[in-house]
Amino acid sequence: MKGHRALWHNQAILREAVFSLNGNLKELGRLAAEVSRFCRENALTEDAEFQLNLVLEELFVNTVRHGGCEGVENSARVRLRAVSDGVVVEFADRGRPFDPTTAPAADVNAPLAERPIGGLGIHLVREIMRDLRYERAGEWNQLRMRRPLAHIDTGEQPIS
Amino acid sequence: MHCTVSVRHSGDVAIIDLAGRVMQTAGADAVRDAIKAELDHGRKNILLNLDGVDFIDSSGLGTLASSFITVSRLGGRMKLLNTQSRVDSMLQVTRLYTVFVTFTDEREAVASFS
Repeated sequence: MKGHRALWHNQAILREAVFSLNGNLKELGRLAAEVSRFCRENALTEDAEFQLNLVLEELFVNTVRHGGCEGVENSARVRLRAVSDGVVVEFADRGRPFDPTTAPAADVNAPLAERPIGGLGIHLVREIMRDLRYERAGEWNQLRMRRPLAHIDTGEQPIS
Repeated sequence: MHCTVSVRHSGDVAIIDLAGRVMQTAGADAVRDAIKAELDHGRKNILLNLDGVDFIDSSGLGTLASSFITVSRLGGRMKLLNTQSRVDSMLQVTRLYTVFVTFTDEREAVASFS
């Protein structure tokens, strides 16, 4: 379930990354390393790497902290695929059923002192990603989404 | 995967230099503890220098927000210095930029507390 392979897409060699994570927050280091390698191999910007890492970190930490995945082997699996208009991300976890597309997000327009604790991570995921689709398949939550090529980038150059 | 926190003082302003990753699993607690320690010593003017912060997640942003509220309720002020572009974009997305005053010049930032 772990590895990279070259794919032909739009006459360019693009690579995908597929890997699994155990239900342990120590896996965050490996998650960041996998995302970094994927972005480097596809000449994506540092902003793209930052945002992909952020989104996956938010989702993964949620499953470990709140989804019941702590201590579960291969509790999450990730697939990253570079496409012509961005990066398609598939995140699946074996946690309790949870649909991030309909879950309440933080009200960022409320006065600071009145903002509820929590929900900010889901808000970030929804703001950064597009075309979010959720389904529950057996014991898996499956979330598919796309990070557009140019979204809230800061105009940085691809990683050299 | 860690955050370093160090504290300097300029007059009655506590300058807290952060570097690395400010997230739930590392860094957020250290930032909160550093601010609390300054408040415990009666220093209510807090300048968070984010120059070396290359990653911040929702918990890190939440820590900034809750610390801002704590400092304000105690009659102090908390401002940001040298936010990098990615942290800036997160402040925009969460609309926290409407709360924080940010500076790019440390001398100017310190003077603003006077």
